[in-house]
Amino acid sequence: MLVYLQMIENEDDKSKFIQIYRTYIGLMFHIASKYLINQCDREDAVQMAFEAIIRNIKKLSDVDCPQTHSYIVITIESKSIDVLRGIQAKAGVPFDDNTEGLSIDLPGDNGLADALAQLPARYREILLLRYDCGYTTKDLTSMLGLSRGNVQKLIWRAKAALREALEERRDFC
Amino acid sequence: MKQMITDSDIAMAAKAVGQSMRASLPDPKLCPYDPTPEYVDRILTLAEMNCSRQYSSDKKLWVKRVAAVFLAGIIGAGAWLSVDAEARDAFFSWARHIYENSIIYSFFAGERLDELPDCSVNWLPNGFEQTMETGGQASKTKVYSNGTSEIYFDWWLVSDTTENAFLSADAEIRNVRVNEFEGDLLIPDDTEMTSELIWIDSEKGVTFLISAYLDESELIKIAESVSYD
Repeated sequence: MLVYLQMIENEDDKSKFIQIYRTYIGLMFHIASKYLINQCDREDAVQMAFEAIIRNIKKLSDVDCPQTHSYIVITIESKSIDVLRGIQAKAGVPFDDNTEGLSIDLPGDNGLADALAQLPARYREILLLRYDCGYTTKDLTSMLGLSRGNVQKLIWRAKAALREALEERRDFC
Repeated sequence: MKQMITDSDIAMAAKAVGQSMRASLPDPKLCPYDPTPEYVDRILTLAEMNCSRQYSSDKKLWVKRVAAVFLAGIIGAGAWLSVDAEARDAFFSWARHIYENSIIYSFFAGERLDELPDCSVNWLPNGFEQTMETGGQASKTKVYSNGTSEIYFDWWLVSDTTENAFLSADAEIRNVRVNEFEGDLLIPDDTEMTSELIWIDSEKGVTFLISAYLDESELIKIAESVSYD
């Protein structure tokens, strides 16, 4: 944890980070293990996730609140997929941009919520960050390292994918 | 007919999915974590590397301080600002700072418009037509599509002390002109990302942004066709 603490200047932020580290590190490795077989790769993903958490520490609420919990789950999922993408690129294997997110229990409404839960990881992540965690487009530009235009594009595409998924569910039924 | 999905519908669904997601995972407090000796070694190595990274962080801070002094110099030394009080209020002064992976536009002086004027794009590449329009008093977006690709056109109001930051990691930044205005073109190394053209109407205090998978000439042609309604 030493290296992470060195990256944070403010004492309150350090204290918050220590709590996050202690509370979530086990869960983060658990989630990384869903995507990555090799322990070194899992450690890479967890490290990348903590670096993202540090950059956005001021935007995070209480350590135990649902918003922070969701943000950390989404972040480690995203970084695990990034590491997986890098591994496959090195192996010359094309990466599927529609990689699924973590397998979760469906909310059970047989409608919009179930469709959203089953979206590809990148679309589900952006919609959860925007609408469940409540981050604005402006927040997301710095959190994700994307320009405002690209954040908007990602949200727009996620909504289009959601609409399409919902239509397919209705046609099937 | 396609059913409309509103933002509040998505928000309700997202809350339900967020709840399910958290409930599907083990309690964070009950997840065991036992670092391997190799991981501890890596972290210690990273700690040593981070000490040298602190130097470059300090360097960035130095650049920011210089930029702040430069800005203060602009405000203090701009002769035209002292000549005519109306001119000082009417026009926005702004400065652009390019850092390692971002461009920050800082605005000062100028009186913000009460409402953002509507704008139209009067030239588009073949096949594109408007598919969406959103926004409010201070910012608006129009989206154009040809079925396979989109063009995003955003514009928004700026005011005294506004700062707009654009992240440009791994992108080439080119200074361009859009009619009589100065602008920046960001061309990313990653072909998955759109190119972006930003320019500022300093008289009205409006920033414009076009994001699309288009080349420089097409982006500038679109930008130069933008007019206030």
